[in-house]
Order: sequence, then C-alpha cells, then structure tokens
Amino acid sequence: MMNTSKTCIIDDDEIFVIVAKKIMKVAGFSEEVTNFKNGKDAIDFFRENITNATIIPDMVFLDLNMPLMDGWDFLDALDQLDLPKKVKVFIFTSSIDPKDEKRSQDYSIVERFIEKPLTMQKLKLISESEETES
Amino acid sequence: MQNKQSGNSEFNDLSYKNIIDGADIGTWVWNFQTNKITYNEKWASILGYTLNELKPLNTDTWKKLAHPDDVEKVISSLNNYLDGKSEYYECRFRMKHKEGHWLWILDKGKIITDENNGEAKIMTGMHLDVTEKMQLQEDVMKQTAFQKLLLKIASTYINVNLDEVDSIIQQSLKEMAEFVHADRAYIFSYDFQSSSTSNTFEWCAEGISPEIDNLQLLSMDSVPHWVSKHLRGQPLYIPDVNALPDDGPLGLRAILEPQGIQSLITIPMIHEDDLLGFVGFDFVRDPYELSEKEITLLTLFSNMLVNIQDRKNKDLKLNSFLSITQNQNEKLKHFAHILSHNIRSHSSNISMILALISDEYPELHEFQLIRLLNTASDKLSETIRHLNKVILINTSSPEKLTSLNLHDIIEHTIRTLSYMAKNEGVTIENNVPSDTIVKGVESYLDSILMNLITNGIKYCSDERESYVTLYIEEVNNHLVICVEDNGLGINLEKNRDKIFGMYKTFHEHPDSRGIGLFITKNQIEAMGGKIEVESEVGKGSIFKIYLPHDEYK
Repeated sequence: MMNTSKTCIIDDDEIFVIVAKKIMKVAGFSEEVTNFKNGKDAIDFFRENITNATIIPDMVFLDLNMPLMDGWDFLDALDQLDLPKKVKVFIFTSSIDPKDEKRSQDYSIVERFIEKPLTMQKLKLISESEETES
Repeated sequence: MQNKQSGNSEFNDLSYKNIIDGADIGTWVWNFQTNKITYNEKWASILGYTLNELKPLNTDTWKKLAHPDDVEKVISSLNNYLDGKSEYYECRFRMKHKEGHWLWILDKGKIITDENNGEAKIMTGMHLDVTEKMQLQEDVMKQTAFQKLLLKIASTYINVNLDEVDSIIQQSLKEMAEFVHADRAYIFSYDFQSSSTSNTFEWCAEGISPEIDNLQLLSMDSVPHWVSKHLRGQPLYIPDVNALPDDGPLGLRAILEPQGIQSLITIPMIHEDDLLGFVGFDFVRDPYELSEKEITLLTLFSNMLVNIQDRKNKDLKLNSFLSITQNQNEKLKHFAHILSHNIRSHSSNISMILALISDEYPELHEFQLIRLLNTASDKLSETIRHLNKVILINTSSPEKLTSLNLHDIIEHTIRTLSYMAKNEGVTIENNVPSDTIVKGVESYLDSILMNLITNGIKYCSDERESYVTLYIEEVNNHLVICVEDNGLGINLEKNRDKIFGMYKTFHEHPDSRGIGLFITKNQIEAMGGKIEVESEVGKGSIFKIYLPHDEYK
C-alpha cells in the first residue's frame, strides 16, 4: 500500500483526526496528511493555493457535520474553484441518514461516501481502487 | 238584508238595529238614486270617532281614512262585484284610527234591488274590526319565517370551516337584524377577570354609524343593568326607552337616550353556566315591540352563537395541540438524529483507537481488561447500530410501498435460514398461495419475516417435532400474514406490554438481544400495518401481521 499522494482531513473531531492520521501512517496510505477543523479553514487554504498544484491535496477526507462551514458548504465552495488538478473527496461521516448519501451523489467531485469508523480495511479499499485507476 | 218597507228609513225595524249595534258592526247604506251614503254611529266609533266628527259624510268619507295603498284594492273589489264577477262585495283594508294607529277592516256588502222593476236601488254593507285576527295571522307567518331563518342559520353553522366562523356570524347578525327591523346588531363578550366587556361583532343598518371601535374594554360598572340581568340568565329588554322612568345620570335611560335608541334587547350568551357575553339588537328609527315568541327565538339564536363559538374554540385548541405535538415530534426526530450521530462518532473513535492499539501492541491482547474493553466497544457499536436502525425506520420519510409477491419472499427467507433450521430440527412450511401480492417495503418485509422465522427456530421446544408455518388470513378486508410455531411460547399475561418493547428478552439464548421484535414492530408500523401475537407457554405462538388492505389479490 504505497502512495505518494497528499491527503487532507477536514473534521472537527480531534480524536478522529489523530487516530486517522496514525492509521494512515501505519498503513502507509499517504506521504503527507494535513488537516483542517472545519470547511471554512479548508476552503481558505484551497483558495490561497489555487494555482499551486503541488500544495493542493489529491485526496480530501471530509466530515459533514462541522461548525462554521459544514461539509456540504465546503463542497459547494470547492465546486466554484478552478482546481489545478484532480481532487478526490471521500466523505467520512457518522450520519446514518440515507438522504445524506443520496445528496453526496450530486457532487461529481465526491468519490465515495464512507461511514465512520475509519478502518484499515476501508483504507485498503480506497488505495486499491486508486491503484487500479492509475 | 232585504227590507220590504224600505223608504226614507232603511232601518225602521228597531230590533234589527239593536242586534247590529250590539254586535260591534259598523254599517253603511249607499243609495244609488241620491248617491248618498249613511253610516251608523258604530262605523265611526270603530275608528275612534263620532259621526259628527267625520262630517261631511259622503261616499268619499272612507277614502280619507283608508290606507292610501289600499284604496285601489277596495275600489277594484267593489267594481268586480258591481260588474257581476262576484256574488257579494268583500275587502280587507287598513283604516287609520283617530289615535293614529292602523286598523284592519273587513268590509262586506250587497245590493238590494227594487222588487217591482229589479233595478238596483241601494247597497248595504258592514265594517268589522279584524285587526286582532290579522295581527295573529301576521304573527304566525312572521314566526314561521323567523324559525325558517334560524333553521337556515343553524344549518350554515353546522358545516362551517374554522376560518369562516367569523364571517358567518357576521352574516347571521345581519340577517337576524334585518328580520326584526333592528338598526344595529352586536355581540359583546364579558371578561370577568378584568371586569370588562368588549364589542366583538357589529352590524349596522344603512345610515347608522358603527360604534364597535368605541366599545372596547368597557368597564362592566358602566353597564350594570346589562350585567345583572345577564348574570341571572335573563335578557335585558326595553320595549320603549321613552317610557323608562328618569332614573338619574347613571340610569338606563341616561345611557340609551343619547344614543337615540328607542327599543333594545340584549340576550345573554351562556355556556355551561358561564356567562360569555351577550347578543343585542338596537332599534333606532322606530321602537319595536318584540313578542314573547320572538324573544324565545332570539334566545335560541344566542344559544347557536354560543355553540358555534365554543366549537371554534375547541377546534383552535385542538389545532394548537396538534401543532405542539407535531413540533415536539420534529424536535424528537431532530434530537434522535443528533444523538445517534454524536454517539456514533464517539463509539467509532473508540473502536478505531482499540483497533490501532491491538495493531501496534498485539501483546496487550493478553490482558483480560483490554479484551473486555474490546467486547464493550463492539457491543456499544452494535447497540448504536440497532438504535440507528429504529431511528431510521421512524424518522425517515416513508418508503414507497410496492407490490410484492409474498410467497416468493417467504421462499427466499426460508432458503436463507435452511441451514439454521436443519441444525435445530425445525420444519418450515410456506402455505401462502403463490399468487399472493402484498403492498410493502421489500427490505422491511424481508427483515420482518427473517426475524419472526428466526425466532421460531431459536425458541423451538426440545419436547416435540418443531415447526414454523406461514399462511395468510383475511380479516375485515385486511391481509393477515400468520407466522405460527409450536415452540416455547411467551407468557402474555405477564408480558403483553413488553413483548414488542426494546431490549426485552423472554428466553435465555446466546443470540437474544431483545431488539428483533422491536424493529419488526417499527417496520410494520412504518408500512401502515400492525402486529398482534397469540401465545401460550409450552404450546407455541402465532404472530399476525396486518398489512394495509388496498389492492391485494
């Protein structure tokens, strides 16, 4: 499971971020993992670095329920940006509402809708599908 | 009335004259030759006059006293008779009494012809005062019309929509007022807490100025006559304000006279001993005397007003309860979602941490406490999964019901469970006809059948050949799916309330979670159905699922 990509976790749940980062490290999932605690901070970062393809992450693990700017608002804002490269968004959520999953399908940038918790198994599935693609 | 010796005096028979005078009958004799007319004294006294006062007496005398609208009617009746179109002359018309009021007069007459040549000589006639009779007739007609009007109002009250109540009350006030020729009709409400009264509805005839804006939150002390009468349940009725005694600056007359009111009636509106207010009618242009019957009917109207307002209040209360319930329901749904989401986040974090720990430090698994922690975390996740399932069934928008082949779904479930059934030695029989179509949500029906059949297998009895049989019944147009077993059974006397509750188990079994029947019940209810159970300990159970009855074969 080797990957040279950059991943960004957008989640207000500190424990999730810490543990997810550890799991990713153990799994060797991504060469660099950054995080933002809400959609607002993340979109600001995207806007500031919109021309810099090396800084913009390849993958985004996005939570839905967040303060300031939630996952949906982030997706809408991201949609407005002219991204310098392909970015894949994976929604990671504790939501059990099937409406949320349905809604996520309206965003072409969303690669997959995944229920928490994050496990090795799920990470493996993601990187496997990435490898077959590339 | 022929008189053989008729000549100068038409009434030379004294006894005859006496009879007529004593019978309150006015008479007239019209001589065609002289075109002169003679009246008896009674003719004049019916109208309050003496003959002397009415001089000159001629054929036009009656016309001066007759109601102008009726003169033509009299003449045409007379002409009809003179032309031979009727056997005698008869007419009812109004004449003015000396005191100014109108009387109804029945006038009848006949021609007396000359015996020798058959020539019309004189015409005799009589006047009868039929005012009372006419009044009575008029009263009856008016009351009938009044009752009809009330009936009409009552029927509009019955089916009125909540938001139309006010306009229909307004309309009926107008109709009632116009009927009794009132110039103003109104409803007041009493508020005994603030000791005030307010005008809530008002109708005014043309040219009468509305007062409703000036009549808000009046102190009850300013209308003591109203309040005291109404508290006794009686109407306040003043037939003639001018006839009231002068009872000082705070008296009734002092209140009514400046408003130009001549007559007035106000009727209390009482609901179950509570005085709510009153409905009233003012007569400004002319005084109006209400009959007892009319007052009774107005009281009936007041009762109708009480009823419709009571109904409106009840409806409003009901609506507010309904919206409170809906509101609470929404809040609960929201709460359930937040709760399930938040608890899930934490429990998934815990399981992530535990997974990471056992990955990084496999040797920790030797410790019992760590193993227990893992078990607790798994159970927590499972419980939350169950909870979420229930929450989803209850809070997500209802799934669309589709037509499903019940037989096939059961077959599929039986196949899935065949291994388990074989292990436990339980025979599963599907007696549902192959063309049975039900309306439902496929995933729910799957889960319901899976759960009930699994229960039948899990809780089979070791003492006999065990079976689970599925069949359908029809009860009052409902399709009922029956799942019958001869297993352990449940003591329903003790557990009827609990059987479909959450986390209730009735037998010891390693897989018992007490969640299955709870979810089953929720799923059935989400499809608009219900579930019932018959059970006896040691004999077995029958679970009956009632599904919405429309369009099944």
